[in-house]
Amino acid sequence: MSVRKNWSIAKLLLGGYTASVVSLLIYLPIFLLILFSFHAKAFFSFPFAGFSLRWYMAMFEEEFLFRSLGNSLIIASIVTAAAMVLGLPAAFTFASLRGRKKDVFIMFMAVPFVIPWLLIGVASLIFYITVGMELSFLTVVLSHLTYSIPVVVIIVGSRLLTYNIRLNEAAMDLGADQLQVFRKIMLPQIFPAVAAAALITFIWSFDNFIITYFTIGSDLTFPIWVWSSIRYPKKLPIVNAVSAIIVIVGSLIIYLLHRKGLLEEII
Amino acid sequence: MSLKLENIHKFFGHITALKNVNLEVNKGELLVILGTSGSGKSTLLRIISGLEKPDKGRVLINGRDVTYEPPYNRPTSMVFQDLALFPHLNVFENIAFGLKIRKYDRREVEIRVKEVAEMLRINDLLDRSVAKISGGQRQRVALARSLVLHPDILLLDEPLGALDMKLRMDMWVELKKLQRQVANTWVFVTHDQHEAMALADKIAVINTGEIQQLGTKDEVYDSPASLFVASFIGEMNFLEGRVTEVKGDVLKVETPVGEVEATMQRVKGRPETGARVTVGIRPEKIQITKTPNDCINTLSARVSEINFSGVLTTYELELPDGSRIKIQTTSRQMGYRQGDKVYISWSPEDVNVYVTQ
Amino acid sequence: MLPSRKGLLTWLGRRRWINWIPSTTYLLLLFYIPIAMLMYYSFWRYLKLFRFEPALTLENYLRFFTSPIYTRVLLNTIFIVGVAMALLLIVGFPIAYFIARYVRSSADRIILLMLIPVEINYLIRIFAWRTILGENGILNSFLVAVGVIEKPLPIFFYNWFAIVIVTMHEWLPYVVIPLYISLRSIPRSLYEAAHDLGASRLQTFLKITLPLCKPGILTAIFIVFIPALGEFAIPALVGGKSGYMIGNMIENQLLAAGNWPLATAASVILLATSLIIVGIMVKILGMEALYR
Repeated sequence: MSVRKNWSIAKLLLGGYTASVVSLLIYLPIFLLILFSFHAKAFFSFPFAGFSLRWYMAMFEEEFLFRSLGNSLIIASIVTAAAMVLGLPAAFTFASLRGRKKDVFIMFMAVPFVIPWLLIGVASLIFYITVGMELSFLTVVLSHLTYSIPVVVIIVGSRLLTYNIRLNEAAMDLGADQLQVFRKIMLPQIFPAVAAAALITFIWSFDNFIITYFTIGSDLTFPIWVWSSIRYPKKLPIVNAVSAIIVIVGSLIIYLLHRKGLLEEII
Repeated sequence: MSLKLENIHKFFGHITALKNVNLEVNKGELLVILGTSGSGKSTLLRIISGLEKPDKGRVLINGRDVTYEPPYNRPTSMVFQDLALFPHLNVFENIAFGLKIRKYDRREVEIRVKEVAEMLRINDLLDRSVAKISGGQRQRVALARSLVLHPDILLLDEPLGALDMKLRMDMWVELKKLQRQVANTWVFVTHDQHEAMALADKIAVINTGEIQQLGTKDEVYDSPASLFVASFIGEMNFLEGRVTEVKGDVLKVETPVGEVEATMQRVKGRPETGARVTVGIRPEKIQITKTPNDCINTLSARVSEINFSGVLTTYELELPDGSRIKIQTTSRQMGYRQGDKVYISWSPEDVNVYVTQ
Repeated sequence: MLPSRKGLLTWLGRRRWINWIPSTTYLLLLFYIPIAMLMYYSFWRYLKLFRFEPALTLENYLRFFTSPIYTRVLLNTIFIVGVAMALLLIVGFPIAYFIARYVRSSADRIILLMLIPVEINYLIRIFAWRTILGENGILNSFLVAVGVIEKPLPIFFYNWFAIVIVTMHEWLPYVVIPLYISLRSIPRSLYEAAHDLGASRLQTFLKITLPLCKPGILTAIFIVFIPALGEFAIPALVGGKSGYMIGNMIENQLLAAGNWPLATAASVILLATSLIIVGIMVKILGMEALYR
């Protein structure tokens, strides 16, 4: 009996701790951000000066905001598609190699993974300028891909490593040819990993600031717009309003993905 | 008395996991607790070890009440079902874990680990990782980790489950030898009746949280205390019937295929005339003949299946009412074929009778 | 004839050079050559603003290591990220333990809950901390209200500790997840066995839980440490003077001061620092840590 009681006290303490850390460290700033997106005044101050939707209205006059959002969507889509085309086949290579060759291949693929993004940005900038390429959208896409391809290879490759190849043999034994095996047996099972890799790539590319910062030139993406607006008190509430919309729409999407069971693969 | 359990009850929410369990084990005995999964056998073992506390009742070890003592204050040690070897420690460190916790000095730890490793023939593996040894070897490491502490009672929770049949059978012989060698009390939990028969001095058959029977192997096999035990251990033919006469030492039962006689000492409960009963006869206790002999308990039957499996030959016979009965014999050539008409008979001393109502 | 595992995977991968040639060529051209170029520039000679000439000189490295400012910036960077990392592990471990031990059935939901704010771009989120730590922020208002201080103090924001706080905010979920995965994979019977063999709770934690969590701890360090080392937006937004990091220095030298040789030399030093950290980790963990 006494043992049980101790456990529930520990559970209560740890549960309370978890709840407070998550709400204070993770949610409090988000909550305030959303709160002040409805603030009547431009500066955040206490007490609260009253609700207003003026920043949501002001949002629509921000031409650069919508341009940058559009650009980010386009860049993230191209990066995701290209990372899949280039990365998926290499994931099969990754899963099929053994021993020393495998180590070398992983090393080669994983280096972009294990150095700070800043270095990818700096190296890219120097490279493009040296070879005379104009900084633009294209250079952003090219640089994002140096990180996204390894992400796809490693996420999908790891799933393929644990894939039970006996299933393929069983299917072949039952009369399926190689293409059928791939389509009907393998693909459905590795699909969650592929979807996860695509999702992570898309979100990462959409949200990336550091690499983009060095490679974008005079174009705009959403994070770059945020960077240039955030320190101007007149623009900050607009940034907050956009964020509030993003977090609500995003949560809805996450919830739907969760319902479909797609998120478990990422976690 | 090495181990004594008194009126143990254990509830998980509304589910009764153990109901009034009483057990006694003598020093140096190997008790097997035999039951299906969900019967409460593992819970019982965990109560003995101290990993669970009973809701009612007492646990006595060497006469001392340890019901509320934590595991490390009990002279017991447990070999877990999944062995629970520590993956980040090598074989030596695994075996030495309990000694180090008890702060034995290094030399003593080394001596004792070496000693037990030698006994279990794993002394060549001491600096290996536990991930890189075979299933049988892992088994021995788990045993060594417990035995090195010289526990008065060793508890084993289906530790052989992961091994293949051949290896298991070898382990039975070896465990039995080992147990005699270390001469402490062992409590071994299993769902496998063959394992129970191979290892046990005493067997406790447990079902839905209740001990059905506690006895020696012979007692449990020859005179199962309940229908459950009768059907769980070994094979048994059952005939339904109604008591027609109780006279002195003899009980007569009318079954659809004829009259069956039993001696009273094999009758469980006190049936009166007219009571519904089930009659059980072991397949190897039944004789089979071409012509009717003048014994009591003789029935006619027809051979429907013959199956030779090495040592034993199993006949499946069809009785006049269509029900089937199994017979086992060690003699191979009896000259019967499928479809032959035969007579079967058995002695009243081999009949177990259970009151059904 | 049934194909062997090797045979089938050959069909899927190995001999099909077309599978791996495009991606490796891509990385070679757009990652490895730029990195090599970056290294090459670090040996050039700086003349004046955006003017430098090819050379093979070590003067940029010498300048970096002999300048008390630059070495201080490097050490400061490692210190700030190290403090944030240590605090993240200390704060995150009980959460991971709580999820793995008590609420495992709803683990995905809790982790998801921690991840939802990640949708908001991290620049916005970290800057939102100004509403808490800034001069007019909640913390100051609270301290004034309870009478600890008389008027708002500008000491909680724009310094190195603000970087630590926002780094913790940004990375906490990514520390909890690998720790949780490690903890989840420890079978309960191991705890029971340790208990049965006489280990106390503290001994069990130190001898069983912690060593078996090592992969999770190292994965967490790996996920957080490397990007954080090269961060320049966070220190620029919230770091102030005491939070000047090597990322800021590189960015400044590259884009404003126009000293590419020095910027690239500092980059190579940052690269070496991260690779040394990864190297130590791979050594302890084995290669598998990279694709687990």
